[in-house]
Amino acid sequence: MNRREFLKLCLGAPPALLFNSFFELHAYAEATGGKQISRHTKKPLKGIPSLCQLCPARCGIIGFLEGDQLVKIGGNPKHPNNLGKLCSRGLAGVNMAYDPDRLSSPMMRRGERGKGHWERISWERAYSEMVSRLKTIYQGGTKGDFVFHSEHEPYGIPRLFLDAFGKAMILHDDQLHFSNRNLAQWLTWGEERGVPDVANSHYILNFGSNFYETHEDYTGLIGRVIEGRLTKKAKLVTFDVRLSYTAGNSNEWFPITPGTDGMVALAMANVIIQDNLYDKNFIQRWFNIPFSQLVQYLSNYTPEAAEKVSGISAADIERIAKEFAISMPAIAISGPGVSGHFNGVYNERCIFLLNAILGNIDIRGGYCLPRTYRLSRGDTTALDLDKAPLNPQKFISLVKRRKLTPKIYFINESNPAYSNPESGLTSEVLKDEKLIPYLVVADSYMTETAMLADMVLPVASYLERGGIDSSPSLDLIPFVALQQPILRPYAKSVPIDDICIELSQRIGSGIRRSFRFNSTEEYIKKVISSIPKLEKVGGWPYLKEHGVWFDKDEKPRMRGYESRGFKTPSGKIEIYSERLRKKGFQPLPIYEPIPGHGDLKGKFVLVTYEPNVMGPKTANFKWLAEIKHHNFIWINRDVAKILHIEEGDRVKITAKTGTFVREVRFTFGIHPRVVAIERNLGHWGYGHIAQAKRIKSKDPNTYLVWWEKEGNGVSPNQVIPGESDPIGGGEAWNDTIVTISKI
Amino acid sequence: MEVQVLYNVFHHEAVSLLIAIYFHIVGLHAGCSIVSITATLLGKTEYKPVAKIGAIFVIILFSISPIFLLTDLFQPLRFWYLFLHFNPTSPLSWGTFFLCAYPTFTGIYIYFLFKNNVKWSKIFGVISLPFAISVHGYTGFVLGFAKARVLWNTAVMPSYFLCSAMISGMAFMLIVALIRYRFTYKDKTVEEREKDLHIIDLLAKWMAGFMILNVFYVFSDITVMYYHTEDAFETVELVRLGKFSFLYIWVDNVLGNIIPSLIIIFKKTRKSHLLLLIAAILASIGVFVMRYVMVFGGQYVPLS
Amino acid sequence: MEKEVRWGMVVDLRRCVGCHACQVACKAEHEVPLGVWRIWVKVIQKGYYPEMAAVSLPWDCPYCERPEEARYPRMQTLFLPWLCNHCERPICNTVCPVGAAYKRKDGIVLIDPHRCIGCNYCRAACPYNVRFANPITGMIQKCDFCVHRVDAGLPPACVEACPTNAMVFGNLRDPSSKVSQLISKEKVQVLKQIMATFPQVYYIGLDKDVADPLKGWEKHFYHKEYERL
Repeated sequence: MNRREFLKLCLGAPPALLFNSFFELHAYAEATGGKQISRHTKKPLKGIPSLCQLCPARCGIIGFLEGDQLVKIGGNPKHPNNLGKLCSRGLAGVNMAYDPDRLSSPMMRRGERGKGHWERISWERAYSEMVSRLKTIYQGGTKGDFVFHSEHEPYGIPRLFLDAFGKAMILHDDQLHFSNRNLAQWLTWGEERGVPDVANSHYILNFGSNFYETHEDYTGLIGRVIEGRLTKKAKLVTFDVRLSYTAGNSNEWFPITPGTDGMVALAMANVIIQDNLYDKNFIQRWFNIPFSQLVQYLSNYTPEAAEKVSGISAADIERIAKEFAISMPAIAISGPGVSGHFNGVYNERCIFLLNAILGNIDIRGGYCLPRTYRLSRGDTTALDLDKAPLNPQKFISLVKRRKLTPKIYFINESNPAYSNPESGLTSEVLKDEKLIPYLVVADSYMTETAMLADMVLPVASYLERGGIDSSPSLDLIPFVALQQPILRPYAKSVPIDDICIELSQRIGSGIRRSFRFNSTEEYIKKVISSIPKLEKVGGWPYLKEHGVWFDKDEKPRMRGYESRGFKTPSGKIEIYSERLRKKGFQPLPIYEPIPGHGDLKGKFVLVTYEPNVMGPKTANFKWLAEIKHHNFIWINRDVAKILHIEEGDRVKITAKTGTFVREVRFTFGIHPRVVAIERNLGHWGYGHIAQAKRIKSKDPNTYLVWWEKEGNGVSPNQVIPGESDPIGGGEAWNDTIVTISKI
Repeated sequence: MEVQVLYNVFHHEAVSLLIAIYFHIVGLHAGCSIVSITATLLGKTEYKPVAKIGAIFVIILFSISPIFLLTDLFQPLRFWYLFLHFNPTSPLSWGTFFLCAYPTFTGIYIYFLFKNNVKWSKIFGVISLPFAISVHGYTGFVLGFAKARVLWNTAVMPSYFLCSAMISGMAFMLIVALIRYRFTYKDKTVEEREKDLHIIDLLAKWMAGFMILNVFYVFSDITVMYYHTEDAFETVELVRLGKFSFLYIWVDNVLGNIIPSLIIIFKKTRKSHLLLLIAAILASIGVFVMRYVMVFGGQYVPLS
Repeated sequence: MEKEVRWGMVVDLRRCVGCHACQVACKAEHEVPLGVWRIWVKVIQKGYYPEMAAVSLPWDCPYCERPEEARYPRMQTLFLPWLCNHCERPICNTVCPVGAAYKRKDGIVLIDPHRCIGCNYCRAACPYNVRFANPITGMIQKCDFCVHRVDAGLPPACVEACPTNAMVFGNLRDPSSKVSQLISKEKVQVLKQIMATFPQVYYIGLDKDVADPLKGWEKHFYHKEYERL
């Protein structure tokens, strides 16, 4: 685009620029975004489209190179989810490219575990160390001898490798964070996550989600929420225990007692049914229980009963329920504030019920089915209620009790010693050579976990490796997005895909029979060859150039369930879940009080939340650490007055699993029973910037760390007791009972 | 209303301690030179020693003052750009002009003063007097034109700065005169002693006069600011009651202005050279504290 | 015929979500060192004391002797991206002793890096505190509306990065441009109008408490005391 066109677009203002819908946002994004010019030479920079992997949203990015140096990361305007926009984390990804704190070579431990004495070794040596052990397991081991732990569920090449290997136990951090939600939704309508079509909603009822700061679809979702709120005049109502950015920008915020969202949702459903505001046809056609039974069941959940439990007045519950029901299309969104509880699965199902009784399922402005391309058969594990739910924390405690005896624990870009609940226990177990005989950590940084490893492998960051992805589309038109290396791997780093391929080749014959790929590119080409329309527009070269492809002529067909039904055993929405009943759980959506929360006299519930600029993988990003490098304990101002705490005092938080000390800040924006603290801070490993330490390096900025004296905060993970929902296995992040004492 | 700042950035002060010191030294030598020139112009021979002492310190102080100015620059090697580019709306540009013109004329004046050429020293005294006033006066305008800060951006600022410069200059000369008298009076005749004592008396009286003027400026500045904007109110509370109240009210005004002027006003105390010396030292400290408070108190309140 | 151009910006605070994307995008675009900012997003939380609260919720608060005391205020979180206002009458230009600060014909206020002597006077004079001394190069710098991008026909980096399109950049003299439309249609405000610098960055939905530097500042910076002299 030349200057004249830009002037026309930016200044001439065709009506499209007033963003009447997000389709026009596409036009705006494509016209103005995705281009960068050099500040020095004033020439356009070469851009390589790829995907961001710093959070689960997987936005489309373009890496801009000046010469062969990565100078900037921008959003890919062709990507239908993020529309050329990135959050601060994605934009700061360039900090990772030449970070002097990154691991440069494979290393092997010398001396005791965790002592920090390392010997640099060659990749050859590293492979042979691993292969000798893996071969024994492959030939004669049992399942669970090889434990593979990654941040997200492995997909693509690592997944194929693990499937071919056969005896691997797979752990991922999403099990801690999302499995309650995933299981609850899967039990109810057969999908693990839906897509909230917020851009077209007239009413957004938000339970415990903080999409103004973090979300699984952060950038794309928040842009659409704002469009919905501004152009459709959508009302946003938030139920949250603290004043998150979302709550602080909602039309109404209700500070709710922790873990009681399900009760409020049920009471609202009751009000909607009592007032005849429900979608009768939808309920009759798609619910698997008779309407009369539902009415009868819900009649117990009166707003008055909900008021007693949740602290939100019955009048408000009634009013919000009616508003929600009459402003169709409306949507109820749930978040970690709902699912990160002991009763997470139940809560989640209650909120789904609220969407379902209004027939808000897969309509414009409602809660929609995820639309993706199925890229590889093995990419997701089918959920199974029969298997005992597992997560990285549970794995550690099972190892501790010697219920599991892994031979190799391979951790790829995850940091359980820091991020697991009860992280002290994880460190203790990882240090014990009897419990974990061999610990390999493949990461870009010397994380807290890597410090305890027997062998550390430097893996290429997301900027340096390939992959392919098809996330659920927020525009409901499925797309395929390509991740391609923008840079050559840092120092001796190797992409995890290549490590897997190399391992499979060295392990030998059996494994190569079911896993034949020799490179990531080969795999991607194979995958995209299964999408004929993409092949027609050019396939691989097209994706390489544009980074993303979707069928431009496709119009989303709403109510997709009408043709094939839901992916549940009954084909309907299983409000009544036979599968839950069989396992001895409550089959209907129910509110179950959290054990121990009944009598909180003198105690508080510790709630942790993720700040908007600091994700789990961004700790050493200088631009983000500069914004968010330390955390406070937030406490209600009235309560603090009663406890005789002054603002800025250091207080001690004591839970049954440990204590920590931090300064306190007051706010009215928090429930009096709750204290809140930010996660993802307080590293004792990872890198210099993550620890708020100055270092002299090639980049003069690393010596300008001005927050050295302020410190880097504290991680609350050490006191989270590691108790999970018995159904879903997701961690009850927000149920920790603590006491506060001034020191 | 409860306001809790969740995120904001922190800015470092734009005007540093070096500049506060520079302001003080410029005030000092400008004060000295104004006293010296005035003494010469009045023409009485008994004032001559004062004029000479003043002139010597002008040379010494002037030669060190630009060091502070240059080291404060982020690009010190580009200082000569100031001579190339003149911006009439910038008091720093005027300052460059004055800082060049002032030593030239004052140098000639001092030359004739030490040559005992009364006529020419008077002529060049007259010429260099406005420059001596301007060379300090411009610093008042420097702060006065920085509209961001309410403590600076007042009409009283240039004259307030000049007034305090006179105090610091006179206090300095008073100290020197007292010391000189202390070490030389034994060799002097009664008449000469009388002359010296007269000069000391005169200097002290003038200083007290400027101090009273100074207190008036402070009073009018603070009171007017109470009727000004929110920023002004906050700033004046800060210097009156807050972080800078001790320095500004007690050290600068009470110890630095009111007590010395009281010492001088009462004849009994004025006759005591020790008390006079204390008064002069207090006045010098007070003026420096005033520069410090002006520079840092002015910048203490955030702008964003 | 080339139209008259006066670049300006409208920041629609109803859209702002406080994500700091503009702040980071700017750091990337201009290699701004740590500790200084060309644009930053101020975030505050505000609400009423309980006795003034619009709602009263009957909290069963175990810590309160009188439960009605723990009522909830209506609260909100407010954001304010703060950048150079590219004033119509920039005081920084007025006071620059060497004329290194200048305003282009299209209204962008710039600093000539080859002329600036780093005297800090402009920093002291700017009522918005947007100028800083680059600790690496020793230059006085500030937001320049990404003049290299604007000249190439691209919007500034912050505008491009904003995930919610809260920032709009365009020609204020062109009545059909989006900035002009927003300014004429919406209720806009500028920061510190009292300073008579005539800022050209307009805000929609600006709250007085977030615009007020004095609200809550002492508490926020109490831990930074050591940095002061």
